[in-house]
Amino acid sequence: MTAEPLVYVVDDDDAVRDALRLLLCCHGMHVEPFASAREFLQRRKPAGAACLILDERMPDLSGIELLQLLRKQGASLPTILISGHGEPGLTESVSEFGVVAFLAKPFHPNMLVTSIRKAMELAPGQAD
Amino acid sequence: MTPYLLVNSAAVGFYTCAALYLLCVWWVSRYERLLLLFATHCAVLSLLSIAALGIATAQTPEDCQGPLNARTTLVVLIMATVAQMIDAISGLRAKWFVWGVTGLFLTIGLVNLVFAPPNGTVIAIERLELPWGEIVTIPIRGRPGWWIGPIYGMVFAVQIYGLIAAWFLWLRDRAAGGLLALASTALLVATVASSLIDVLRRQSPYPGGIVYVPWLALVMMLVARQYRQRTDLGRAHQQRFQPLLEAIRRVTGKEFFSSLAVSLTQACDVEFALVVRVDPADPNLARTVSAARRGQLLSELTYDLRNTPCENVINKTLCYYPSGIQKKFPLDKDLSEMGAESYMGVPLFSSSRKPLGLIALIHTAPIDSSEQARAFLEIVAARAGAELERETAEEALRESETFLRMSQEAGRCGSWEWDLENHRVKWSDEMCRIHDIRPEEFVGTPEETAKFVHPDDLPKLQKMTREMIQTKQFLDMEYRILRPSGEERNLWGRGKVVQDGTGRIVRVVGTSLDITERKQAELALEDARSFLQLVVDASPSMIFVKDGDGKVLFINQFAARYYGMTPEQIIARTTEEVHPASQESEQFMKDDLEVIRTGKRIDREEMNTAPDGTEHWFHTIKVPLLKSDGGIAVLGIATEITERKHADQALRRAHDELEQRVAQRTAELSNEILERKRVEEQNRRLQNELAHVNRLSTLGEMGTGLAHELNQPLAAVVSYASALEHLVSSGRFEAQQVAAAGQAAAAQALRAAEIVRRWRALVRKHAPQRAWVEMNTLVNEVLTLLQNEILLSNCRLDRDLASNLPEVYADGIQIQQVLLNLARNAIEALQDVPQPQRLLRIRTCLVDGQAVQVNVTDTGPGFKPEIVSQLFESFVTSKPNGLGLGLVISRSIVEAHGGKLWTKTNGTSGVTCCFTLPLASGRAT
Repeated sequence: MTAEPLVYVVDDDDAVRDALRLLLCCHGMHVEPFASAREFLQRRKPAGAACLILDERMPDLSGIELLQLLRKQGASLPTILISGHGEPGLTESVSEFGVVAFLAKPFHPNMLVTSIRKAMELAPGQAD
Repeated sequence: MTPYLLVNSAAVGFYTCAALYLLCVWWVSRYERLLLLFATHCAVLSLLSIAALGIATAQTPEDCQGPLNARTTLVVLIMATVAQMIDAISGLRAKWFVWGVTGLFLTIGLVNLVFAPPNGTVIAIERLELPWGEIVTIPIRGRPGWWIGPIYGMVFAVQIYGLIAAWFLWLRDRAAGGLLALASTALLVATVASSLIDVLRRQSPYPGGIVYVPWLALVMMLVARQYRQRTDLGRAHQQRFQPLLEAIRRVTGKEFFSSLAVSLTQACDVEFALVVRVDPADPNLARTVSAARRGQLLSELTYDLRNTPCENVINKTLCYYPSGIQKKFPLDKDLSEMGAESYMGVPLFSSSRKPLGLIALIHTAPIDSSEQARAFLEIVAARAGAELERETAEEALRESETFLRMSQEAGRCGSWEWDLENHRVKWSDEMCRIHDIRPEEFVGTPEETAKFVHPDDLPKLQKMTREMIQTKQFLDMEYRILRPSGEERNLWGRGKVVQDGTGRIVRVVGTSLDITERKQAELALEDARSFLQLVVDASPSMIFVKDGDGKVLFINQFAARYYGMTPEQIIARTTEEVHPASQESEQFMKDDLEVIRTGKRIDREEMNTAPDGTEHWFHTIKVPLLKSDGGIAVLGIATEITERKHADQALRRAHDELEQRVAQRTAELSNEILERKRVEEQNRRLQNELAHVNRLSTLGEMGTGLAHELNQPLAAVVSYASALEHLVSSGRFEAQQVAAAGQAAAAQALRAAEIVRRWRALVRKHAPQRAWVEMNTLVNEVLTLLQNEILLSNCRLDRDLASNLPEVYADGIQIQQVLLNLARNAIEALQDVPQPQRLLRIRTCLVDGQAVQVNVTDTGPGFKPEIVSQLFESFVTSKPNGLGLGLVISRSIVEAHGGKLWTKTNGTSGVTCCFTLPLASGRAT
């Protein structure tokens, strides 16, 4: 098992995805980017300690819908939801899906990193 | 007879015969100088032998004295002839020496003969017995005179001259030089022997002329040799030059010069031969008449004479440069091109010694410069000069003939000559052309030429010709001719008689000018004049011409009638005289003078009182008229307008009334129009404001989308920036990585700016502004704005844009607003159907080539029935947060552009909104 924490990034915006990958790499994390929810479902490799950074608003399958699916499959991950809208009402409604933090774009990178570290502590792989 | 006497007598005989023979040959050979010298030489030698005989046979001392004195003189003469002979044979050019010596010798010899004997006076004679038993007399002399010294000196100087000449001759011709050296030595031996005998006079008698035999023999051999050589050379030259002479003997003109150049290269054995003519106008410009290289003709060439060897030849004499010609004339490029080494040029002259040009021979080695070659070249040059002169003259003649022919042609003037003695007529080419026959068709008899003259004019022409011959005067008449085609021409003929020395008329010469066109013009002018006369006479206007004094120069019938007279009664009188009661005469006179002074026309309506007292109105025009004598008169045309004047006045009254009414009505109308314009303007402003409000509300509705759209790049920028900061502060980074991140961040920032720009354009409040825009570009921009909305609403987009759409003249922002409204309506409608059915289609096309149409189609549920009738009413909406302005504003925008907007339902599901923008009327609105 690798020492680097694994972070899944699901966002339909190429630039955001690429920027997050670079940012998290700098903080010594291993990043796996996905352009859509469906791609994540198909290509994701099960891993030990991992967390998910998820864009809330995406075409086809939205962030919430993905979380619902994962919950159904029993494969929920500690998740950080990011959104370009920042609708505050959403925060409460998603906490049930194991959402660690809800960050409105553009967020402060330190907040993201802090949230990821927090999420990692909750990650299922941490127990192993 | 004793041997001494015998030998000397034989010498006398031999020398005398030789002298006579040579004299004959000299005469036969046409006075060859050398032969005369030889004859003299032999004669003197003969006399010398006689003198020796005289001394040897003297009985008394007195008998000896004469021959002895003669002997010294003869020796001196011998030396003079020797000097001359050597000069003639050797060609050593020391004339001053030869003639100096000869003159001195002759003087001394003469003085010697008359005065004192230089060898002293004979005081006694001694009889000497010779070994062979013969007794001869020897004179015993007193002391010799002092001047025997200079004589001997000069005698020996001649010997030395002979040896020097031999040396120079040897340099040119070994054998000849050797012979002359031998001869000179023989002469020296003979002289020394004679002198010795003179000194030792008691031991031997005088040898006489016999001692000169070896010298004479050797010199004869040399001369014979030279003669033979010269003859051989002459024959060789003849052989060389003969072909050239043959080649140029019978030809003239151009052919002569080309043969000459070609043959010269062959005969003189040179590389180039040029025959050059100097331009008569520019003495520095030379043009080759012909040029040849090794027997091949070259093309013509023109060059500047300055700084060429030719410059030294023209107008001078034969000139020869045996070598190094290029160094002597470094500026002559032609020479170096030819590779010339030597040059020989001979000038060409006209018969009046005018310089015409030159012949130049150019070669890569020395050219044969023997006297024969030079003489030959000069002969050829004489012929070439004559030929060149002839050609120049011919050219001038040709030119003057051409000039005459052309001037006749230009002036349509033919010339003719009637030879009365031979009964022949000659016509120039132009004369033939005037008669429309070819010169070769012309039959030169008076009878034939008379056939051309018009039958009506022939008798007169013949009569006048006879008169001319009788009176010996000029002929000058116009007559007509008939061309072979029957065409009639008018000619003006002039002729004069030519008399011979005895006053007899031998010829008549003259010219005939074709004046048909002039004649026709005159007739046309005449026609025009009579036509004008007719018009003037028939005119219902008064037409008159007056001079500065008010005198009538011309007046037409109509005007004369007005005054109750005929034109003849009025002309040359003033108006006042014609119509004394007129009150307007003074004014008319003033007008006339003004026209004359200013040169400007006067155009006015004026009243005139007729002689019968009635008042008439006239429209009078007066213009200045330039008379043929240079003076200025006034031409007046006055048309009666009395009736029109009355009608006018009635009309004007009616018109004024009407105008007043119209002005009143116009004032009312313009107020109405202003009011209408103001209302329209207000409407437009309101509509514009409304459109802006609609845009703002639309964009407000889209605000969430905008936030999302902007936040994406901003999030990326922030992340990139943080990553960069982290990378740089950690110190572990690759330059490439940092650069890529920086570039990506910049690109995202620009993306945000672009989004803002696009939105800003729509938000801005602007006055309607039309320009030529492409519909497809507008559609694409709106779809970019809606990109995010379409993406998130999960509908498919189908773009069907016609290519090559013409541009429309429209307000781009407003049309985008329409597109935005329709597209957003469609997207919103699609939210009510399941995701797979969501399809938004936008289509552009050209309708009948007159309008651009845009269709926005959705697959939504369609309109609710209660809304359909109110679709285009304001504030009617199915949306919870819409103002209900979209469609209304869109329709008003499209209609303001001259287009139409409508909706239709597509069978079971969906709505299509269409609008058109016209192409043609776009610009007008």
